[in-house]
Amino acid sequence: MNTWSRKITPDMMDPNFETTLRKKLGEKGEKIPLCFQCGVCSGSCPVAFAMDFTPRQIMELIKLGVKDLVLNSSTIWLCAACYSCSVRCPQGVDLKQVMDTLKEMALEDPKYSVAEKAFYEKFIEVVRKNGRMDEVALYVKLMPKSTIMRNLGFGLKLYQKGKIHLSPTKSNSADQVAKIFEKVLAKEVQQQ
Amino acid sequence: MVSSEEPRIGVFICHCGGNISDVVDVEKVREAASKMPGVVVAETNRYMCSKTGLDLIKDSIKKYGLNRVVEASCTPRMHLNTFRRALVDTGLNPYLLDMVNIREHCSWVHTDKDTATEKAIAIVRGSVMRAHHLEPLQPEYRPVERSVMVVGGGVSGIFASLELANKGYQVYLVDRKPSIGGRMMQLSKTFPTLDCSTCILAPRMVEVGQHPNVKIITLAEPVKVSGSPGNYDVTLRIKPRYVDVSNCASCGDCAKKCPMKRVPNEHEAGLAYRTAIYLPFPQAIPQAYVIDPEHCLYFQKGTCKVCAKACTRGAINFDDKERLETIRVGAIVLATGIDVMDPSPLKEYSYGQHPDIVTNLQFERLLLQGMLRPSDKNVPKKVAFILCVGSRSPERAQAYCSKVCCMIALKQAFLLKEFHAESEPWVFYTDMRAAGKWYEEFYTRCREHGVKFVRGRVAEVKPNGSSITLRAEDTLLGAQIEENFDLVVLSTALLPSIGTKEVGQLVGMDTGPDGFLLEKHYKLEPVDGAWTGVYAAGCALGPKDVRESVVEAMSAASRASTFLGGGKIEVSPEKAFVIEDLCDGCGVCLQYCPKNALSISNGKATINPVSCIGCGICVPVCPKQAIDLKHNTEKQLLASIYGVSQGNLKPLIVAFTEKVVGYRAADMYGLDRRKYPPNIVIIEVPTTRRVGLKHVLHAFNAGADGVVFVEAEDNWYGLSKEDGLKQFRGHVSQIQRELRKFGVDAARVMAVAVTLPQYYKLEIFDTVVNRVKGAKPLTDDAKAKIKGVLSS
Amino acid sequence: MKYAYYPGCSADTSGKEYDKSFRLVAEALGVKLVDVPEWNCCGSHVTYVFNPTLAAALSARNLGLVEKIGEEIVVTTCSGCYQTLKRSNQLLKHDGEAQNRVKNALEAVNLSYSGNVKVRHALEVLTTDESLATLSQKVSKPLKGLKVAPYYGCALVRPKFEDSFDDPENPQSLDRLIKVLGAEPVPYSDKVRCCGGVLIMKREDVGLEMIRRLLVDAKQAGADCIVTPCALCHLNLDIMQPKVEQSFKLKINMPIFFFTQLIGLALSLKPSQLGLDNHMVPPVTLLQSKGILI
Ligand SMILES: Cc1cc2nc3c(=O)[nH]c(=O)nc-3n(C[C@H](O)[C@H](O)[C@H](O)COP(=O)(O)OP(=O)(O)OC[C@H]3O[C@@H](n4cnc5c(N)ncnc54)[C@H](O)[C@@H]3O)c2cc1C
Ligand code: SF4
Ligand code: SF4
Ligand code: SF4
Repeated sequence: MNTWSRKITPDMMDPNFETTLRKKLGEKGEKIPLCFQCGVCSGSCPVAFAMDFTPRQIMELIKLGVKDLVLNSSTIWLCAACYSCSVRCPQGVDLKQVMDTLKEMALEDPKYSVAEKAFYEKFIEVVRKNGRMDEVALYVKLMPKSTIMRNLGFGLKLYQKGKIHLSPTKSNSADQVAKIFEKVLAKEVQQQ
Repeated sequence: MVSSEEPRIGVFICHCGGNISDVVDVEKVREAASKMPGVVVAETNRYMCSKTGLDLIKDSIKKYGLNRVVEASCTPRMHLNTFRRALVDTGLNPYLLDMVNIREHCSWVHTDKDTATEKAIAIVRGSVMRAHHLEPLQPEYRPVERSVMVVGGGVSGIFASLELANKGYQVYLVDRKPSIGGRMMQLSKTFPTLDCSTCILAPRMVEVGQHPNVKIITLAEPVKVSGSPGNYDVTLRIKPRYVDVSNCASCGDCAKKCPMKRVPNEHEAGLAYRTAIYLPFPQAIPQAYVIDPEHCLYFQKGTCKVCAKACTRGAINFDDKERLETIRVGAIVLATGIDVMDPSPLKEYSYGQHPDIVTNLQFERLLLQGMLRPSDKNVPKKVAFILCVGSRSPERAQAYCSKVCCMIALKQAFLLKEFHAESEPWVFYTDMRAAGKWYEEFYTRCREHGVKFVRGRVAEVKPNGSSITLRAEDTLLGAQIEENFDLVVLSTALLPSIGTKEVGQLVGMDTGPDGFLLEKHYKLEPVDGAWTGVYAAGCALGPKDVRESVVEAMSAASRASTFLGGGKIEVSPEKAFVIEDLCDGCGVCLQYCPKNALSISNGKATINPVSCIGCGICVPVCPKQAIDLKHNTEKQLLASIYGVSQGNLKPLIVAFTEKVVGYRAADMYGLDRRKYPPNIVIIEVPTTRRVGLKHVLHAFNAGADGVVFVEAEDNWYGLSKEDGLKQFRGHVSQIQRELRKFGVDAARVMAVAVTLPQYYKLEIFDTVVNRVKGAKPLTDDAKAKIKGVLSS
Repeated sequence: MKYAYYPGCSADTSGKEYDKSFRLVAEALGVKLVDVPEWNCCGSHVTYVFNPTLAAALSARNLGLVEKIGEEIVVTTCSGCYQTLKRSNQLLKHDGEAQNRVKNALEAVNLSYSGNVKVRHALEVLTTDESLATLSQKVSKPLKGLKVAPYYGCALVRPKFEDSFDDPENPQSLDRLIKVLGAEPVPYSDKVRCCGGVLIMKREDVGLEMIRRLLVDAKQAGADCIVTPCALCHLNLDIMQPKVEQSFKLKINMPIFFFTQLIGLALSLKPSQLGLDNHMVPPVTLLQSKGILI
């Protein structure tokens, strides 16, 4: 979470931030400087009410290069990837894609998002291991210990309704999926 | 006679402040020029167009007895006449001047000083060599028609007509609707002064309707324009009205009986109905009913004619037919105005899904109808005005700002508050654009009056039962706003009227990327078309308010009367002529002339100088070389080619450039300070088809390494764009084919077609140079072959 | 019509009844489904954030399997899978490097994928003009008097792909289907507004608020129930509904149907066949009150 004093000082601005982001976004990055702060994205965003910066403000921060505020913002993690902003932006900014790329940048840098990493890692891990996702199981898995007790009744009901299984569903293709993981991610390492 | 005298040439090179001399070593050019054949004196000056500069030219003419002048400075489109006058002042014929462009075509498009200077020298050399062959010419004069056609009867058209009619010109005021009046007749009150729109315009409509010098032609639009400046023949397609205007008393007896009562009323922007026979609106001029055949029962089903029975004056005529009428006028003013964009494709605004989501034009009608909600006729309490619907949205709708919507919304919010004091107008804006006389003050008044302002473009408008939910961000707070409104007004983008592009094309006026008509010069010729005698005014040129529309209407009228006032027009002497001794009357040339100016009489081709436009297309097609073109003679053209092709620029590429659009596109390229390699040297030609295989061979013979043809994409003397381009491409590929026979790589010849708005297409010059560099080498063998053919 | 069928992971958990009812109504309407053998998780947009190439490879394995069984079109019930599979097709088409790496990864498991399998949504294939015409003839128990709020969510309609079948702002397929079934679509302002998706797992407070407003808006617009074509939306709106009621101290009691269940009801299939008893918010009372069930 960000704490800031509503003051942006030169030392907060990273001149390379926008360039790096634009490069990662490829052709879509060319639209970033066109944002004229109309607010259509934030007005469309179903999660903006909970964000510390609205999507439009993220665009402004990007243009000023205030990297830490952006990559520490709750915004990028709250973005539900619904594309409402992207389909409406009058300047063609694919803000959903910008959010995804910002998440990627934050995940790459150990300085940011320690808490968020858990979700992505757990999710990927479940898929890697089982070849399948089990969203209810993931939900239970991500629940803080303290709430598990409180939610026991809820869990029982889910079980009765057939919504969760005691052992995770496994695809009979789990081995193949693991191989694909290995192959793609190994390539990644090589490239770096 | 001058042409027989030994040429005594003076070369005058301009610094243009530093515009030229910062890149081109002007002194070096002067030195080189002074050594060129026939040059008696070469001078430079800081500003050749200044009094000192012009005096230098005049004094030199006298002092050295000059009989030819070469002026190397900015584009001739700027100062050709200035320098020609200097010649006339000293008694020389103005056609003994040759002016070349070392600013837009050299210093502004290049950065490397050495090569730019080298190129400037080549340009000057071409000009000096050409000057050897210049001949004095006398312009001719033709009388002009003292009449004007004004297309579009909105406020702009009405004011242009009145202004011209009061000066004594015959005016034809043409509108495709059944009445003149335009958008303004649909408006309530007008910002910022809040005059009642109808009250200020209707008297002018009556005045123009009764003016002895004005003929109003409604239900009509131009479909063809021919002729030349001062004598245009405009063909109108006039739709039938089915009601005799002079006989109709506009009593309305017919409409009372008409069974078709639910035709959407255009004047009420679809918020009310009319009958199939109707009066467009109470103040309509002409004051006469009209039948709308698309909704008339008789025209749709074959029986009815109830109105004809009801009309005691027998004014209704079901046999009325569409007709064409051609009118000769001296000048044309386009005042075709605007349409309001249909917002339904922008689905987030839900237009059409709830009766209380309306456009700003519909809101004008609501104000005049008593300001009630369309759905339940209740007083709307909370009303949202949404700005930039379709404007400033390059990726969704229009890229441009519609300019007046902010003010329209302010006015409407203010009037709503005046109408219903308890109402609550909210204006959602992207940026408040209230820049104009008394506009900011009006904005202030709105705030004083309790209009609420939210800075944020609305994200979505959704019907919500009888109410409407609106979501936006208040960007000043970074807070989301979600509110229910009783009425939502969309300030939609203003678009050029349907058919603006087509009507523009009839009179040689391009449209810009925004679809509005393109003026000749954005700043200095803001109401002129590309053709002399064609003007435009009002919203046809771009969205604007009434005041600005009227200002432009009066400017256009003034420009038209300046043009027609002299009573005659100078006709360029730059025409084709037949060398009778060589002509054997084969008639090949006849099929090429786009203006049918050629005919055969007494076994020889003859050219009608009135029809000839001097395009020079006939010159290279004559198998006997019996046609030539004044001021662009074979000798002159070849001299230019040899002049520019010598020197040290390698590779050197001659760009034969069409003089109206191509040449100006190259000017605009320079104006924009875009760059291309200095290897490209431009030679101005009336059209690229003036240049044949022979000239291209001469270019290679003279030392050029490549040739590019720069043609206007859309200036084909009556041919469609597609056919014109086909001919152009055909001409060039024919030359490429022939060159292959000499062993010359076709990559050395290229073609590009441009329009003024797309002048940047000349960036192809980079490719041209690269292609020539990469082409198969010009072998000695090929060169010898070319030389052989040329000398035989 | 015959399609390859990719049920997606939720078919085994939260969306069991969706899978079940889709198979039944497809059969009833003469749509033949061939299961993609040994399919795996499509990766979902979560993998896309983590590593787009990996996501594309996971999708490509499934699409490669579709080709292997000789089919050209794959249909899926899950809107998330629908979006992910389509995105992968797009990525493979435009990104040469990703294409290469995916190719290599697939080779390691003896598969290949040409990039040409068309991805369709279950709602898309059941609401073509043709399907609706067949359906309207087969409806034996019109859902008279049932006021249904169509909830499209986001992944089904956004982003707009070249071959998207419905509009991102004002989609109509569910509305049309509801009418054909004899029920009444209720207009309300949230039909394409996101339910929060997996946010519920990361930030329950935010997720619950997003779900609350969807439920309350539909209720206020006069809906008896909501219909959805997405398992994740169903999870949020149905499974989480008791939690919403609890945390906001509300009584909502809004049954949430998969659109295939509504079709099934109109075709007189039994509630248990359609898995209606798997729902957290039991719909039986509502259906009885409308005379649809006795
Ligand atoms: C909702 C709204 C509110 C506005 N409020 C204000 C205001 O309060 N104050 C203000 O100053 N301005 C206002 N404006 C702007 C004002 O309406 C325009 O500035 C003005 O009408 C422009 O006049 P015009 O003659 O150029 O074009 P128009 O009024 O559009 O007239 C063009 C005419 O040309 C005719 N025409 C078009 N094409 C052809 C063709 N091919 N052949 C023959 N005829 C043709 C049309 O039928 C029409 O009669 C408003 C505009 C709108 C849309
Ligand atoms: S909608 Fe587009 S232009 Fe407007 S603020 Fe958001 S990103 Fe910027
Ligand atoms: S994609 Fe993310 S930022 Fe954009 S509207 Fe949806 S939730 Fe908000
Ligand atoms: S003939 Fe046409 S215009 Fe006349 S009354 Fe009948 S419907 Fe109306």
